[in-house]
Amino acid sequence: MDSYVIKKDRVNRTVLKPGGGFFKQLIQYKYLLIMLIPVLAYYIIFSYLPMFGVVLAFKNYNYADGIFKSPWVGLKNFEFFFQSGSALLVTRNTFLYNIAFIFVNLILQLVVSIGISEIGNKYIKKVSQTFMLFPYFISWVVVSIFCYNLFSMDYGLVNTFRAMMGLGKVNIYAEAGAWKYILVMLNAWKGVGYGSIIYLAAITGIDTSYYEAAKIDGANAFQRIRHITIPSIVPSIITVVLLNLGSAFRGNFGMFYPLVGNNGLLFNATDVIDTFTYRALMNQNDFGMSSAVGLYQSLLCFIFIMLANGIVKKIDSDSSLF
Amino acid sequence: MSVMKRFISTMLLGVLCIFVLVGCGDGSNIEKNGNITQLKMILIGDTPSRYEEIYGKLNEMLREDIGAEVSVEYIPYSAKTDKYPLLFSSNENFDIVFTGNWLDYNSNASKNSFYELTEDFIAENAPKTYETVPKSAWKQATVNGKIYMIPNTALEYEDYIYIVRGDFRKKLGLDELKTAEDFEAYLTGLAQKYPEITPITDLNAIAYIWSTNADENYRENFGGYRNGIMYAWDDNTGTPIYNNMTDRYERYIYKVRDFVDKGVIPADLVSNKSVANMFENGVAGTYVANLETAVNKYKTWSKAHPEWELELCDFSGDKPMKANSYINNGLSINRNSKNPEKAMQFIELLRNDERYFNLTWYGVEGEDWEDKGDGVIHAIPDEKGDYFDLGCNWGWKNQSMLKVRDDELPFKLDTMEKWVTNTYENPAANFVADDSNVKNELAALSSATTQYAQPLQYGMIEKSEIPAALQEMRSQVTKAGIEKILSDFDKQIKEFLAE
Repeated sequence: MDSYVIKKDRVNRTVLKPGGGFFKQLIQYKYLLIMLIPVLAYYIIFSYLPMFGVVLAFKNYNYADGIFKSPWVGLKNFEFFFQSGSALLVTRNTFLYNIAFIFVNLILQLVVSIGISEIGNKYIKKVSQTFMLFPYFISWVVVSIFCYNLFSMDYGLVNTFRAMMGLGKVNIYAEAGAWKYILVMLNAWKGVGYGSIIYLAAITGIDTSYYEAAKIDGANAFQRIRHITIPSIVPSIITVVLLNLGSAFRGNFGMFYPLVGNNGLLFNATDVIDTFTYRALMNQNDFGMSSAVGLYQSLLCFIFIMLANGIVKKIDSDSSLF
Repeated sequence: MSVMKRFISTMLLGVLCIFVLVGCGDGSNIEKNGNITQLKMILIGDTPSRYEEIYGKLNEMLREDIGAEVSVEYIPYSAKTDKYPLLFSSNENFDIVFTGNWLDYNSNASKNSFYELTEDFIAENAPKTYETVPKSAWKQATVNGKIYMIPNTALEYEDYIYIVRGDFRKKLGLDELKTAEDFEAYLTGLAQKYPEITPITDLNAIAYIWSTNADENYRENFGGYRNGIMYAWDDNTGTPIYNNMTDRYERYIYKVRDFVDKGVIPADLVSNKSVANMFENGVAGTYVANLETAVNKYKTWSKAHPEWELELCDFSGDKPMKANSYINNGLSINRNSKNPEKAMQFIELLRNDERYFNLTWYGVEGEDWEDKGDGVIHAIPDEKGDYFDLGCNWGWKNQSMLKVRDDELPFKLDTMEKWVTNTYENPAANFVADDSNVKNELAALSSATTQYAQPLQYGMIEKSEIPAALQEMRSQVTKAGIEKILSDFDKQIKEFLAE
């Protein structure tokens, strides 16, 4: 530990900081640094290098001139998006769906992970966890076929049931309002098992002596959850939520498109930026215009994550992402 | 020891990374091997089972004739919207590529994807092609004043042919289906008596029979689905008309809703993803396709399900027909090809040399077919009963080289003859607009039509609410800029016709 020195950080706390010069540290942490290489390579190749491609959003791209030599067109590629009059609607839909997904999933994931951690029987614990995880591995396309079998007008389970009860059949594929709930529900069904793993891991990391002390003091199960479990996993919750908020303006195309498809009656309630763009541009194959929408989303996401992180930092600086 | 292990695993990881990076690099396939030039051709569809054999034989001839060898890479149909465009944007190495207006020929050509074919280049490397391909075909293949495609030159029609279930028709007590009225009786009869069968799932066919074909003033050859919108030209004034604004469209909307109410079409068809296989699985009453496909499917399914007593129907009546445009299928040379001359010479052989054409269209002589003289052949099935089919040879389809099978269905020959003698020529039929000035409007329109027109077209709106929904749709497409699009296209059509 000779290379560590005691220093004061910017809020005047005493901390251990690595000592020595840059090269000395480089040698000392060589294994950690080598382990970092693949991750760095991944981000450089797949995230940083393609970033120069954003210039496409301002260009009239053609294959012969390539990305950098194609002629500039200013903001022309953005026009179609705002001209359509749907920009506000789809941006709002995208954002609200993501917020709903994040918070509904969060609450369910917390309930599930706390519930599972409280189950004493190891066998039931494993089985229930496995079952929760199943839906995560089913593709949205397959889910969309389940859905059709549930909601179809002539053969669907829901309508057959309604007919049995003497209620009239409804064409659920024409009821925009219902889809807000269907989408949030399906997303929760699919994501809860997977998401709860993180919280379950955080709960497992809590020192059991807290619980023992609480038991001795006479705290019941709910009090233990309220005063020990939840406060202990708050940092994990904040990190996960912040990470998810980072993509609050990206619609999950893989989910919305198979479920809603080209069913125009549902668009007012279900159209997100990604499905809108797909529909508008699928006939044109125009790289510039699609990049423009991508840039618009990235910009909104960037602003939003900076805001969210800033707020978290104000409240509790240890929990913020950066 | 553990330090050593860690070192080795780190090294291995590094090597892995390098391999991944190398994999992204440019793997050039074109190499000179002796004096033989390697050509690479991209076609659409699945690799045929006899690929090695047929192209092996072809290469034997090709080596002698022009000192080249060809290898083919097939892009599956399902990847035609993602992998196909990537061929050009990723600068992949190939020489010849299958193209056509259903593969966005115009937009790819205007993005400089293809090698420009000057008249001198064609005349020098493919003299027969230069002579035999009609002027109008070259004109269709011209984009921004330059030719980028060697179009196919076969007479094809995209008109619909219907396969219906003869067993149901008889049980319903109907005579053979000859007209639209007969067909409607069949569909509604099915809906009433056999609720487990979906009578029809193809809305385009309904639009065609009860809207466009029923319209005396509408000629199918005027207009169609292009640049992502449906439009037609007024016969008298020559101005473009947007399909969704016409009375014809309105009639169609009411007809579809009527069918939905009667149970002929399921109300949630828009979300049904298994439409394609329904007929094959015996749960749909009608299969709709073009003549070629319908006849092929008819042969296959009749053999598999003789109890269905399948019947082929044609409801086109005596309307004049539009022949498919030449640029529906064709071959182009890659802009980056290192041997455009050889590629062109190869295309010349495919199109015009009996040996190449017969091998790729009918298989090996004596084994797959016998010549009966006068352009008639007898096709010999393999042990499984299947006939030779190489797939995706339409790029070099050439009417003067095509042969007729001696066992061809009379239905196909009769229908074809009826159409050929009643083909309507329209100078603007193959016009495709340059959309660069109205891209934004087209994008807005495309999104507005899926949102506001699709529900109408699928019959999802109650009859009483149709007028309001129609009005809403029309105001939305107007907002999206349909007028600007049409006036821009109008200018271009006039220029096109003046040329």
